[in-house]
Amino acid sequence: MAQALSILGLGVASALGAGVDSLRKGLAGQAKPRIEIDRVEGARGEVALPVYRASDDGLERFMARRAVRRIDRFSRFALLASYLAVENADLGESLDPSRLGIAFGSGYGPLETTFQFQDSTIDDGDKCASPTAFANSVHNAPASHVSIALGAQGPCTTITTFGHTVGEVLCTAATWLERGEADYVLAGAGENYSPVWGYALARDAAEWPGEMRPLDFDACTALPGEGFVVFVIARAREGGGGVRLIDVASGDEAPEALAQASRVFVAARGVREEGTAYAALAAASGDAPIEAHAALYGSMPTGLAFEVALAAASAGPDERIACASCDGQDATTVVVVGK
Amino acid sequence: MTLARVVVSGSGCICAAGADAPACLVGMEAGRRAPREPRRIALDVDRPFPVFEVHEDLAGALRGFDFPAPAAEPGRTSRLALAAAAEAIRDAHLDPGDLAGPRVGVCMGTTVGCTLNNEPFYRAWRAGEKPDLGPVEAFLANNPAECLARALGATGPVATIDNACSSGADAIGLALEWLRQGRCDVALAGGADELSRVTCLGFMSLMIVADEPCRPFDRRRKGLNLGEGAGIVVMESAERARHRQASPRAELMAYATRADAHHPTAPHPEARGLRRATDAALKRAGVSPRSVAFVNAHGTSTPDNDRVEARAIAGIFGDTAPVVSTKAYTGHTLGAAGAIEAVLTVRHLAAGRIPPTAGFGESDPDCGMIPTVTATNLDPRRRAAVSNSLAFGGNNSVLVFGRSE
Repeated sequence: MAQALSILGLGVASALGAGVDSLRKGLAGQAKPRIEIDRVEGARGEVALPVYRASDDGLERFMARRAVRRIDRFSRFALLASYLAVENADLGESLDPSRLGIAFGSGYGPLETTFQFQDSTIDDGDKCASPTAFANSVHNAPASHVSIALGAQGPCTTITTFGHTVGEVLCTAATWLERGEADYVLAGAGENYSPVWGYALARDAAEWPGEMRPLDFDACTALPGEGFVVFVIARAREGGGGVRLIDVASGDEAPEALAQASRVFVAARGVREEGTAYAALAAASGDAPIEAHAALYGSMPTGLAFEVALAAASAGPDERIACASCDGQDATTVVVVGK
Repeated sequence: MTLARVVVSGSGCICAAGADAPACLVGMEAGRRAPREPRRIALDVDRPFPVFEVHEDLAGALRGFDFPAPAAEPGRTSRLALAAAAEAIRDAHLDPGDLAGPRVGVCMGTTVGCTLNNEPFYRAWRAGEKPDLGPVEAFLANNPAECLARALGATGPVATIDNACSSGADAIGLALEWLRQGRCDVALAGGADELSRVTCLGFMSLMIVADEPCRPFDRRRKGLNLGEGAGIVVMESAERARHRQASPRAELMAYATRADAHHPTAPHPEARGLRRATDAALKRAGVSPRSVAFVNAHGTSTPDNDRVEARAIAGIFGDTAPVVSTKAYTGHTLGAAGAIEAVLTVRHLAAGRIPPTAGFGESDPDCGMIPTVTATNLDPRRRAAVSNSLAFGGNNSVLVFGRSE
């Protein structure tokens, strides 16, 4: 990265709950994710599919119930994570909304609402399509709602490129800060569970896991997750607090970023196809211990955001944690954070 | 800090106005357009629903152009993107084989192209059947930026932007930054979107679709017509283009984007975000409003957009720069719109002439601005052109192009 950046604040809404402490407790084994059973049709009949469920509990502390009545669950996750991140950053009067940018991402977008819109036309006919569901079904709806709620008038964008999403979100935030487009950027990503996703996972699964084992590449143990992570990112200041965002690397630069890490967190999703790519990644990581935490938040294409959040919440003094995700066989993104 | 100059060395588009950029310019110069009831999709609505649909044989548009690694079963949005990319690459005097490897980035805007909204699949699933996962696999294989990158063998930065109707402009703006940061040497950037029942019914539910051909900025305007298509530019540093003796179409001088922070689907009444984005883009480009040869407006033909945008344009540019809405010929192509309009802006700037705004007949006192009513020669002393893109969510994005030297 051309300049030093800091993660000044962190907000999360995930199956572990809301806020930074939920991540710390999850890592320490003091909290368990909220897992609900969804019954979906698999190749061999009905499957009881465990799903990592997030909640928007706590949003009422920041927004009146009336203000969120037309906002869908996915955007509520983003709103809750954003408010918590800003609170966690404790920016006070230095936060000028006209200089606040938003860079969000999602692999699948607001899935529930996408299908709710189709429900409205299937149930009631084409003439009764739901305008509320349609407006919320656009991928940039979470960024839009957060922009409106916080009055953020800087640049605002949403990236949706599956496994490439989180790296590009962070690079975009860094670019805006470098160019002086914004003083602070809310950078975040997340997913929204729909039973259709569960069906897609279960449809052709030969066997079904009882739990996620993200580093077991001999089996498919993916269990869907949902939630949203938001970071408040700013240019690093001398003596300033927060966690350093040291690097976002991909392609040929990824091995070097991995080699300097004291720990490596991987966003393995519990699918077999990732085995080769993560084996290469492990080889580039040297002696650094490798951890994967999807068993805390679920399988998601934007799982890298959750690994970065766990790293930012747990990084010790002088630690350098590389968080990595592999998109299929070929593309690796590495995000390095440290104190 | 001095930023590297970036040029548009090639451009291509496909939309209802034409199967390629030259065809679009010829038709628009003559004021030709033909919105019709959709042929590929059926809507159970009790009113006319004119759209700007692409009827060209997309396989034909790609014939004679061999991508090194053809994408696996590209969907319609991806095929539109590939057709526009083929023209842009040819126009840049590049070979697809030149675009493989880690120094080439691909950035695309879309809305439909990143959404799992296959209706037959969902209906079957909802009915308790066990539908084949083909549509899900197609969704995963057809992310527009990944699909185009795969087709080219490009392994540099890749991103698909979904900022609703400003996606295409934002993709070009993000790629500009990639080039300036040295993340890649060449970038293909743009947008693509196909017509779909979901977007047609969604826009109808919001009551902003016209039952007649659209009339941007006209007092009698009733709303937008949806369209489909793709626009792509090939971008590289001016230095690189000079080194390979390319003749750029234009310089991409600046990009800026600002949020309204006002409403999910309506623009800020004072065009707060658009004014700030325009100011920032002009400042960054180092051009004054009086140096702008023309503005390609977002100009959707909805009552709200046109009133707010026209006032902002009039406030910034006065009556010195002619204004055109090319959506009068393409329809609103959503995630592709900002990119198609960027291509048309570049081509019209190079041609020194812009078309009439079809459908415009009566000025609207609420707008305080009159778009082109005839084909208009551009002032050759004015070196820049501006392309506006506004979007659901309150995004306002502005691209500033300069004449190629």
